[in-house]
Amino acid sequence: MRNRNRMWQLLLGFALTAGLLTALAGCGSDPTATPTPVPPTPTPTTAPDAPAPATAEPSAPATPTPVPAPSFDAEAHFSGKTLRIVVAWDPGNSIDAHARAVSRVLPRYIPGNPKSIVVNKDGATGTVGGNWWHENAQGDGLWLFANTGANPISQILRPGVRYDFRDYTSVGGIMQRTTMWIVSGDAPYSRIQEASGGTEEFTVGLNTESETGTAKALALAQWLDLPMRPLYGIGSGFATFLTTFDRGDADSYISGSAWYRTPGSRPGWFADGVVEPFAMLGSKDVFANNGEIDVPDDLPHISELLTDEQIGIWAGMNLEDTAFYRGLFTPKTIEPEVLAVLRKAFDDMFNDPEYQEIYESLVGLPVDQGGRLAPEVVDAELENWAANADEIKAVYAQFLPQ
Amino acid sequence: MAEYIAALGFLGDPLYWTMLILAVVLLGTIGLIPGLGSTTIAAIAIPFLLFNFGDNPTAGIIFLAALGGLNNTLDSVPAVLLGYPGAATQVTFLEGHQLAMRGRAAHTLGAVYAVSAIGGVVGAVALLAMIPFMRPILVRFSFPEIAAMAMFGVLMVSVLSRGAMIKGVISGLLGVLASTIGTDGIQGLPRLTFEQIYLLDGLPLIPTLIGFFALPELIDLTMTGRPVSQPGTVSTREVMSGVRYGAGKWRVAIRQSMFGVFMGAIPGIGSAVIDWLSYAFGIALSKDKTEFGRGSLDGVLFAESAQNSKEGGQAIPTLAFGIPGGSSWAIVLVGLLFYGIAPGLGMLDQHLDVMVAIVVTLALGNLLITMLGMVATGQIAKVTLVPYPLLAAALFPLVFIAAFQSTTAWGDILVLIGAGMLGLAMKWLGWPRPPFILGFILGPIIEKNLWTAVGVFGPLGMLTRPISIILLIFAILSVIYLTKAMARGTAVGQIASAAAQQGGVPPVQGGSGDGPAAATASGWGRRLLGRPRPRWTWDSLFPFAMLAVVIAFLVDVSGLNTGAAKFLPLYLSAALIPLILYETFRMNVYRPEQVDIMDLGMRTGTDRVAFRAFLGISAWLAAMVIGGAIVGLQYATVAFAVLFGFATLQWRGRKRLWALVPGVLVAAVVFGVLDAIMHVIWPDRVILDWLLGR
Repeated sequence: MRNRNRMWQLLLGFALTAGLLTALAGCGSDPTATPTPVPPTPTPTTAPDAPAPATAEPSAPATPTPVPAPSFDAEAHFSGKTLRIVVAWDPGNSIDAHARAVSRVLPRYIPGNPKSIVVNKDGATGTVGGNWWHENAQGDGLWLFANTGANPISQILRPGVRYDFRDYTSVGGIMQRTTMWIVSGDAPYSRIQEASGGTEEFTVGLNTESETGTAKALALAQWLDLPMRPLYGIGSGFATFLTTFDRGDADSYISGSAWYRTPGSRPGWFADGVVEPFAMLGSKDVFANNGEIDVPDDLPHISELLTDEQIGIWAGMNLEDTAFYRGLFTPKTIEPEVLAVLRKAFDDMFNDPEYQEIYESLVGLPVDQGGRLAPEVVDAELENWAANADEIKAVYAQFLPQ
Repeated sequence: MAEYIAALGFLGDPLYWTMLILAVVLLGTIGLIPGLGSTTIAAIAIPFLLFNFGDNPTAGIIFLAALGGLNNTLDSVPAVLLGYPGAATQVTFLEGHQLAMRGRAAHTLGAVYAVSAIGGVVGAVALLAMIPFMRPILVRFSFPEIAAMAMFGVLMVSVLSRGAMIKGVISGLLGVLASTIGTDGIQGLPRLTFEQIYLLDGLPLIPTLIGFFALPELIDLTMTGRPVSQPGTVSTREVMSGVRYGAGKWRVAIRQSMFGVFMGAIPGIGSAVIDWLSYAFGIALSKDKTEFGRGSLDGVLFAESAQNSKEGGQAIPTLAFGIPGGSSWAIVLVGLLFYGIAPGLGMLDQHLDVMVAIVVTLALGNLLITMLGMVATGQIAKVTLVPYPLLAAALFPLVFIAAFQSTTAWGDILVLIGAGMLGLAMKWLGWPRPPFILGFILGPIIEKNLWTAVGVFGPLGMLTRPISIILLIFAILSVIYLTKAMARGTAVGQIASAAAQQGGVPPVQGGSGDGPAAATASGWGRRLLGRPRPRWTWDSLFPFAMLAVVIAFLVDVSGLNTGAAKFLPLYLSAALIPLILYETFRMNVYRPEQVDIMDLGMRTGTDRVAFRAFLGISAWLAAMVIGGAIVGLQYATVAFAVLFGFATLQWRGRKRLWALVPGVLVAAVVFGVLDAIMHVIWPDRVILDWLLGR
């Protein structure tokens, strides 16, 4: 009798659960579920007048985007749909912040005003999210990947990467990194050209031995004969930059944002010579007065000190900070007219006053000075980089532990 | 002073109060639902705040600061009432949950609220008062000092394992060893990752932590089939009695709060360790050490005072130096940047209004949260009167969902299960778990800071820096002192435990102690040589499993070419092998006495009946996980909540409909919050995909 009661109770439980789940399945949204995929189409062609491969500075002004074909009803295509911006990093990360800003504003400029969500899938320096994107993204214009420079580079350097950036096309480059090598005012050298061939050792704070940033620093040290001693484990990011010089842990540090952000956090550091710019490593056109000092006349851009061959290698290694740094990608299977709508919306977004405000807060620069790149430029760099991937990988192999 | 008073103008702004109360209410919800983190919610809120309150940075920053800085009060509720600790409530769980089992849940939480309010206010005042003076101190805490403090933390908690200090040390070192899985922080080389991308970032903290602590407790409490507390023990009057007790301890609360402020102000120490360090600090200064680890309210207060005040401490480097003091303050930092406010020493001049608003919010918010807790706890604590299986019907799914939020991969579920099995085995067999988890949390801090200290200051650099030297000497003296003091406490404690058991309190400790340390030399020798009798039980075989794991580490890291990636796992393994061999030898040959350890034992005993009950619950959990791999984890968890409630609830008639409540709660969290608001990616239906050949 008791067993029978138990059986009825379980059956009742099953029935209730089934009812509940059916009801919930109707109202719950599954972010991985997608509308009917758009059939694959030929890849949009790279702009024929794209800049020269890897050897050139990959910065260029934004270019006009193709106008969608009149027959295409963009509003019907996007209306009522949800745009997913996939971020391969955790909430609160810089790229996540950019993606959330884009998620907020971009739909305003897409006909039909789709909803937009940011989907975080982090792990293994972006590899987990990149793989997830690769397995789920559709070329229907509703899937965007908020890219960091690490993702394409990981493709040639890291094990376990299943995506291939050649399968994606750029919607637009958001910015380039304002990478500056900065030294303490007490360091033996204040400019990189003074250190070249010098005998007195100086230190540079780095994160790990196997990072691309480390490889770049070691490559420069070798090419320019710098008496540099790397200190590993110092860390990465602007907060680490501040700590490094607060505590005097290292003589120098390479930072992607310190040039513009330091005057706000440590007023007087540049003006009083507590720290000094050592060399410009990012694109030359993203550097200007940082609120305290102008770019010194004797401060070289790194390309001015390298041979032609080294410049080519450097540009390839440095794509993670230039063309690939921050941007949006979508699968190449996207219809050209859908892509055109997205690219135009991306362009229009940069004219939005709210977006401009948040962009300036995040980057520390006005939108027209942040090194924003037209999608054709990014695509051209991607094609060229992919063609030279083996050479770039070989260069990294010289400097990274195997 | 006039500037400070002028900066208080925001108090007349209704928007300020709206944001503060909204944050407090949100935290009230988040604190009570295991698995929801305030940090993630704050990150998601940033753009919303900016676009809606872009012209009012104070409102936005206040909201973020409140979410980040006030989340340490109500998170004690699940730890005390449900035996479900979070990352920063392990001490509260260890001591407070035992008090709840004795019917003192409401009293304990009342006391927690009182000292939390004191801690919050102390932290806020310290934030404003100490900013001008902290820079010269903080810049002296570099890699050697942080490494020394982290090592001190692991040692301290190992030593607190009372009569089982060898087990405590082994447990702590194993925790450090487990933390070395993944990519090392110096060379970036993978260790023991089995070529799995998932493991490149190491074992994720949340699944490991809740698997290690919460899952075994939930299983054990479910096996009892009873409520946590008995009727008549839960009331608002009890809460108020606890508040009076906590308020009466204001001197101790202020002392511990200052400790928390200082610890919080040092970037890199980590939130999860501050409660343990404060606990150890409090114990060291206490005359009577016999009750610690057995349900000591003072122990709870040591930890909770510091937990709240540390937020003020963590705000110091965040606001004054632009260096986030902890994960929640990293979000505040991002929020500041969004608003175009550059943190730094200039904050006091350029953004005094924001600075004062944050300080006032930390103080006011703590008082508001305390009031909320005082009003609501009398009712909330009544969940301890509900049969635990009904609570477990909601808590088990929430545990799995919480674990899954870590990286949203099946690996999280596997880590949760693995950590749960290890935690349950240690709990079952009387091995202290706190040192393991402390070692796990502090391991990366020790490894990276130690190696970097060698790189920056040279191999002996640690011994040339005054603060390092002081810390090391202090650590050694503290360990010696606490070892002796806790050993004295063990002898008295055994009597106390026996007396408590006679009084009907469930036995919560157990495990074989160090034995030889307590026995006389002649007695030790006689027992060792006269009666060598191997005992091949689970208890005695467990160290062999540990040994196998350590040897696996040793073999794996031996294959690495260079030093940085392998130095810690290599030397740790080398140190652990003789320690474990000694323990194995002692367990199998020498019959150690059963003594208290600093952990909760099995309430339901460890006999065959208990084992069968455990297998029954495991089968349910396995069905949920397998079901999740077929129909989707979101649906399987809701189904589990409903079915498990119906299957285990003994109530009859209409009362049986209460079994639906866990299902509704889990469905609300899964579909209402995680799916609709946070847009969580649910794991693939791997079994279904496999069956369909996808």
